[in-house]
Amino acid sequence: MILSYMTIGGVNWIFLGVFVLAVDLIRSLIFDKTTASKRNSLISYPSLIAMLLIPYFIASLYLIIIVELMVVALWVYSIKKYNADKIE
Amino acid sequence: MREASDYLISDQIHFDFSQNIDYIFEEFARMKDRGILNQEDLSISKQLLQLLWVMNEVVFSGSEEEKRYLDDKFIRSLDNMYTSFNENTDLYSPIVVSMFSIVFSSKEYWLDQDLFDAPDIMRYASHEDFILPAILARVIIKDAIGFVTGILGAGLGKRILEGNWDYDIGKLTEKEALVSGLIGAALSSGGFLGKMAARALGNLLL
Repeated sequence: MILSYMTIGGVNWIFLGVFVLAVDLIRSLIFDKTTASKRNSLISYPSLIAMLLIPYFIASLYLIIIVELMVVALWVYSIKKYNADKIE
Repeated sequence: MREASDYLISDQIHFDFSQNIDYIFEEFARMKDRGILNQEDLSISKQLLQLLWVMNEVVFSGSEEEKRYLDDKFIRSLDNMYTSFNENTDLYSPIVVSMFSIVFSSKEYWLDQDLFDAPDIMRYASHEDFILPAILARVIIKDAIGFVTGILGAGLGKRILEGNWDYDIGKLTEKEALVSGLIGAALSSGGFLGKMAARALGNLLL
């Protein structure tokens, strides 16, 4: 399988990545000083977690590429929209 | 910033509704004569139309305070009507049940939009006087998020049900992923139409 290197030496790297991102999201929500930063984290970290989990849940490579691109587009759109909100 | 009433005024359907209310009442009475509606249908439809008409008229000609006051009253009256309607749903014909579902579902949708003070896509659209693209964009974004979350939820559900956490096996096939994505997208659009679409997809494809 193309991405089977994700489990090496008994360590599941996907779950490790999800765990690290989730902890960092919590850290950002607790310790970041500005609301803008917290809001950006709330958009960005779940997007990254979704991007990491998608190959774990879908077998079809085409669908993986499409959904990953979709998540990137949503991410860019949300961040741009939020920053435009902030400037207004 | 323009307000919701400005958009309503530019919409022809509100003029038509205002001017033709008597014909609409007559048409409902005719439907009762033909046996399409019964007496309960007619009476509750008239109440609903009367309420909508009053709200429509105030949006056209009332002052801002009047609009805000009536806005709250309108929502309360609609809620009361829907509660009494839900208690005796069996009395009414399918067409009236559908009409109430549409009105109530629309009410929930527009309340969610929070048109007056929302850091939302609706604000950008309001600068350029295009409300339709704003609604479409909102629906598309919501559906795209629903599509991704539908796939993630179905994938996780499948792995939990099968107890299979191995990376290489136990994934969603292409068809399963597409169906769960579509169901997620349909459900995220909200309202009874989204739920009906999800049910139809579930029956058809799974």
